[in-house]
Amino acid sequence: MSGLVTMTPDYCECWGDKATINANGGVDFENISELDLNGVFTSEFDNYVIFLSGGVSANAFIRAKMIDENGDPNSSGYVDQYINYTTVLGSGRSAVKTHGWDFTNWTGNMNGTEMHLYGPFLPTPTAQRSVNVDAYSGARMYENASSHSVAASWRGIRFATNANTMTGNVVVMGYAE
Amino acid sequence: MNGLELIKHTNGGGEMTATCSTGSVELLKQGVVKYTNTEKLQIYNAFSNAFDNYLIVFGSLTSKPGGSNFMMALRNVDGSHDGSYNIQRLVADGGNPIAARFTGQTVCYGVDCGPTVPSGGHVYIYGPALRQPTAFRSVGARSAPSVQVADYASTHTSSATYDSIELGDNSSGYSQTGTLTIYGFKKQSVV
Repeated sequence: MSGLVTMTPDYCECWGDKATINANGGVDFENISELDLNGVFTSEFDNYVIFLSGGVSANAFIRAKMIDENGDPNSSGYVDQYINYTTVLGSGRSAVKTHGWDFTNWTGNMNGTEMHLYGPFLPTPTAQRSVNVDAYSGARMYENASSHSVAASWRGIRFATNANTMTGNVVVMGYAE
Repeated sequence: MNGLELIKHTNGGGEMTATCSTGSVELLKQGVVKYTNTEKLQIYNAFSNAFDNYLIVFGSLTSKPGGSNFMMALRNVDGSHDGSYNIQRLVADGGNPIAARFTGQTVCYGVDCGPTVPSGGHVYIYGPALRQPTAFRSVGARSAPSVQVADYASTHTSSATYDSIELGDNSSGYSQTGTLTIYGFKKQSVV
C-alpha cells in the first residue's frame, strides 16, 4: 500500500437532513450544520488530507474540531491564521478559538477545500494547513494555517457551519508510508 | 499503478540513503526518513527518471534552539550541483500577509518550523530529474511562535538533472527533528 489511502469512517453523525457513507469511502451530506467523521484517523498513518467540496444555503464559516476515541469533540487550544485574497489585496488575521478552526468561508454552491493534517492521531499537538477556493465575488482564495495545542490522539473530526447549512461531499485520505 | 507512489529503489535509480552532518537519521523504509536534531540532512537517490514530479510531506517537524527554515538544495550523488534559486515568499503571522522576493540564492525554502509545537507542510517539486529547470512550491503551517501561513514558490536556474537533495537551515547551530516522506506522481500509461 502506497500513496493516498481512503479512510472510510467507522460511522458518521450529522445535524440536519442527512449524511451517507458512499461506495468510495467518502461521505455525501445534505443541508447539515454539523458532521462528525469517526474513526478516520488511525495508527496506520501520521499525516492526512481531507477533500471537502460543496455549497452553503448562505455565507458560512466552515469550522473543524478534533474528536476523541469516545466520539467527543475537543473545544480548546485552537489557533487560526488566515489570509483572504479578494481582487488584488490580501488581508489576514490570527485568533485563538474555542469553537475549532475556522478554516474556510463558503459562499454559494461552488467551494472546495484541501485540508492537510499533520499528526492528528499522534499524542502531540496537531498542525493544519488548508488551501481553499470559494465563490465569493466569483472566486476567492481563503487560506488557513492552524494549530491545535492539545497533545492527544484524535480519532475523528467534526465539520460545522457557524450559521446556515452545507451540502456536498467529504473524503479523508491517509498518506501511506 | 497510477497516482501517488512512495519512492522505492525499484522505481529506478539507486537505492535511497540518508546522512547528516550532526544529529541522527534513520531510513524507516525507502522513501521515509526520520531525522533527529540534524543539521544538513542529505537524501541520496530521492529522484530518478521513474517520476517527473514529486511530493515531500513533512510531519511532526520541530527545530532547535528556536524557529528555523528547513531549506533545500538539489544535489547529485556525485556531489555536483550548479545554478541558483529564485524565491517568492508569502507569510502571514498574526495579521495581513507579507511577501518578499529573493534572487540568486544558494538554497530555496522548504518548510518553516519552530521549537515546541510541531509544524507541517508539503513541498511539490516539479521536474528535478528532468533536463530542465526545477520548480518548487511549499505550502506550510508553521506552529511557532504562533501559527503562521508560510508558503514559498521557487525556481532553480539549472537545466541539469538531479537525483538527491540536501535540507537544513542555512545558519549553523539550528537543527530539525521530524519525519519526511517522498512520493512520486505516477503518470497513467495510454496503450
